[in-house]
Amino acid sequence: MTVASDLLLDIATEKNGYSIGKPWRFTDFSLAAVVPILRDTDTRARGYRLLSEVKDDQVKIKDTGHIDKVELVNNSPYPVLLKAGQVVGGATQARALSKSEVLMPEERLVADCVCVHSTQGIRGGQQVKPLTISPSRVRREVYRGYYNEGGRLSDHYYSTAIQNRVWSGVNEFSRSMSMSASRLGTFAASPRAGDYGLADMPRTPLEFSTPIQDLAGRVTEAEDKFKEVIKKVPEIANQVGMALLTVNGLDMMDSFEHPGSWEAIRKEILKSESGKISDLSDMESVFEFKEEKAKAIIQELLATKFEERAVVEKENTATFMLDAKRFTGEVVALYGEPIHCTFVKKD
Amino acid sequence: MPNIHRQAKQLLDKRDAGGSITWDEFQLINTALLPLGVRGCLLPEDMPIGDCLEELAKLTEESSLNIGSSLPNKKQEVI
Repeated sequence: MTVASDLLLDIATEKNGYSIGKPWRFTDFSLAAVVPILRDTDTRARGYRLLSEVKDDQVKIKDTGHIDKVELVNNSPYPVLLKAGQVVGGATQARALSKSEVLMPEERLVADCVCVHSTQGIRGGQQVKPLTISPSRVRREVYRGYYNEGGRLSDHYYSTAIQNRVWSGVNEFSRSMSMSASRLGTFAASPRAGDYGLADMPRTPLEFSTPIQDLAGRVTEAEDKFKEVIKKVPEIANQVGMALLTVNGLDMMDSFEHPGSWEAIRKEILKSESGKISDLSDMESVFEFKEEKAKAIIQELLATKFEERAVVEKENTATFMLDAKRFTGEVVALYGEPIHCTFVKKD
Repeated sequence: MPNIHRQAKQLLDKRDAGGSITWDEFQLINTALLPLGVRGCLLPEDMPIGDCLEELAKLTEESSLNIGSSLPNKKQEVI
């Protein structure tokens, strides 16, 4: 048994404490749904922390001066899970980490990354800090770096080959966030808004002030623009992750083995995906949302052939990239147990 | 001919009983579940995966029986 197949089977077949919760939609005509992944856990303590949970001085992150590399040193007492798409930045160009990986205590790592703010310059040697998590639209471009020219998974990360695609992904994400915010503002001002608890939504400007090239800026601003949306997403006990379903099926899934990890990252994921979550594209209710289909769509993740490749193999931890026809993703293991999986739709 | 859905169901049962499966066996389960991804699959959407495989296994067995009954009897052909 591999840790990747183990975790996927556990989630899809709802074993080992995992279950797929009830889908939630922003409005009854929204064609996007947030589906919680739940897990009944024992009282076991989490054996690691996420990067955003440790203090800046405990994990030092430094710009190497190269567009595709950042250096991390873990001075904390915990193994620290670095998540693919984690954006780090500060007084230099913002980058997104290319893969999920556990950084063990006292470990130093020069990690592959991509630039997610094309108009910002590089200042080598600058300390940077965690800013946010890339949305699935950008993560799917980041993962492309693990594919060789033949379209197969590779050990090598081709950051320069996919950099332009990442920048395009950032621009496209930013534009879609602007459109979603504009649509939300129009709806909030309409007579129907009261039916959805949006009548009192503050009439703050819904236009973004950050440039479209600035991924972290856009996601940070989303917290304000989509505050009423994020606030409405239910917080559920024992939640360990979520899947986002759109009109095109499963769009992304992020899950951990412990509710503490989800709690730590929940807000950032919701901010990143808030534009999609606030779907208002079917106000005339032309299409019908079938709640009972939601679970089946997640389970269909299993109904495909997977290719697996270990991209990190260390003494106590490993990361496996997974490739399927419609999805790309990864599973992270610590001390032989799967602790995290993520999938994004390829296109 | 082996019934892939039956094999996959048995693998899930083995796993539920505490056994482990290999990556190749995982791939077999994925392949057996391919019909679930087909648009218009007739199985109920809230049916657990194990039950889906059981239904698919039965359908495969029934259809192979039907095909078998319509095939010419080789022994008779020789005579």
